[in-house]
Amino acid sequence: MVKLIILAIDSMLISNIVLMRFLGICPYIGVSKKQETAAGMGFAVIFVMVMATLISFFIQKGILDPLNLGYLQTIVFILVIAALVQMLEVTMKKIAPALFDALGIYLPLITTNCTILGVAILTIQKNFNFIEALIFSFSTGIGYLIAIYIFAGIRERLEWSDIPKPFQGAAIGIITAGLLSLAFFGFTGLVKL
Amino acid sequence: MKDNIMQVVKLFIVCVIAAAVLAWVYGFTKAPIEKSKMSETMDAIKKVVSGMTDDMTIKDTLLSVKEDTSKIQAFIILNPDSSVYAYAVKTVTNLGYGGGIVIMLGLDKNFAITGVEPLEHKETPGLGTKMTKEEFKVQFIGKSLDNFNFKVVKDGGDIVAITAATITSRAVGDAITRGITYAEENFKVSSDTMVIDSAAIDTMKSEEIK
Amino acid sequence: MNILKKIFDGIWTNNPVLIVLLGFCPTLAVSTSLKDAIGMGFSALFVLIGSNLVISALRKFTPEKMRIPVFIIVIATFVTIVDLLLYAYFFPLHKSLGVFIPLIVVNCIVFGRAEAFASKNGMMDSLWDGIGMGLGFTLTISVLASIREILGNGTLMGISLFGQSYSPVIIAILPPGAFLTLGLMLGGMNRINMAIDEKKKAKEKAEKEKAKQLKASVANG
Repeated sequence: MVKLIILAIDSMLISNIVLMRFLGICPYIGVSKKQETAAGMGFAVIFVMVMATLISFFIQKGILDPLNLGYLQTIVFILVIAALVQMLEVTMKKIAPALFDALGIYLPLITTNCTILGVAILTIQKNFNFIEALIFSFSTGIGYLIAIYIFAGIRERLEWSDIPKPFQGAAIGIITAGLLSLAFFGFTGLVKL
Repeated sequence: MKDNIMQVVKLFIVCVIAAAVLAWVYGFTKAPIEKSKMSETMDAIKKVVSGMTDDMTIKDTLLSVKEDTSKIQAFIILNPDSSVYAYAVKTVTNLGYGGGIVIMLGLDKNFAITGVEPLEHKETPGLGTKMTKEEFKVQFIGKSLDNFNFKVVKDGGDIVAITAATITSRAVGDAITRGITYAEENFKVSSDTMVIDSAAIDTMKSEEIK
Repeated sequence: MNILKKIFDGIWTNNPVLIVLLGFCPTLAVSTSLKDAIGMGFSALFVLIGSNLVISALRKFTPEKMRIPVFIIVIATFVTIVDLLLYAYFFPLHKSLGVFIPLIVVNCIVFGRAEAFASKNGMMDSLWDGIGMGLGFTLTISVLASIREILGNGTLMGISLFGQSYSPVIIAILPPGAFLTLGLMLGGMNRINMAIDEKKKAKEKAEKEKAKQLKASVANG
């Protein structure tokens, strides 16, 4: 039990997927200009991440491993993710059209979000069992949400600041991410695995 | 409708070709990949066991200790006449600053250290990672549980810790202690003969040194 | 189509990382040492060339609605090939790059070029586009890695530059350092481009002035 809590804290903060593992940065720069959109993206990511990880987990254990098709992992996983996002789009359009409109273009963007594929592959690499995979994917998603939400908040305020022209836009964004990463570094040593 | 079917058929064709290409590439890379996986362990063993020659063989086995359910991997390096030349133990510790550290420990037949090679770790670059440098490792050579206290000086032991990386140093001491303990508990034969009875060890895989 | 122009385009004008702002993930993650950066760059280059060529070749065959899955399959196939080849023949590099090899599949650069260029252009053009972008990516990540390795480790390509007494700037090797260095590079790139633009504008203005004066003197004379 304690091991699971530690795993959760580690995935969320200490090895934060964006600020420490460097995954999910492309949409990070694009999506994090407003806090509401950042939050929306974060929640969508959590959902897709958990589902994708669990589905890929079963496919790996049930099909790829027994049949020794390990080398098809990349292709199969990314297709699963793409299909999942596609299905999510269609379902959301029917069931929660308001939410669908709010997320807009960000939904298809999740497919190319390195975090989803990264987490799916890491789950297999780290040899997690089902419960661990669930905790890992969920906490990592929350970590993503936290990082992107804070980031958006900072960027909203940066809009009012006088940034030198060469640094406006992505450059100051990345530097901000660096400072945030430095802050998160303080979490190292929080728990001893 | 016909359009849709054509689309799916085309997609299917692409899939099949992709799968075929991959199967082909996998076919000729399978053997080198196996070799790569093994070479890592082999390289580590060669690094920590001094004076290994080509006519020695390595037996790999899993060690367990009574109170602990975890198992660690160990290798017995045998002379051509089946007497023990040395041991290599892939020991682990969870006390590292960043978590787990895996170390390949080389022991001579009297369980004195011949080499220390960190394999996996998540220690801080520039600080804990200094455990891979000679200046830190050299203090362990020739030491054994009888003549060396594997705690850091701060805790009353003999290990000279890395500056600003006491936790890492402590973890290394822990890993080494476990490694030697496991080895001694499983391999120490009370009689003078150092020949290992092959039947007595559960999992055995014979690996030739290339 | 001018091959040199294509290459310059990929390296500078449309540098995938610094101008188009794609592919940050591997750029930041794999830039702790120059050796790894070059390995990553070349792996991505291989995938870019392969996928650009095949997607371009298939562009008339691929149904419009199915193009995303087809892109994915083609790119993923090349990525898997690179993964297997590295695992078999360049194991230390495979270990250093780790999970970022399969992540080339979702590297926005590869996907972006497939969508924006390869699916709409001929094979030769797509080939050089892939090479240009791949080189741009490799160079960018190599510069970043060199800075981080020299500052954070005192070495370049594993060779110690400053000797034992060098006290490394550890932050350069750690994640925050990656972000900060890349941010500075981005700012720097923008600054240089701004300066080039200003010079161009000044030149154009001067020429316009000259033309105006010429016209005026002709009208008067």
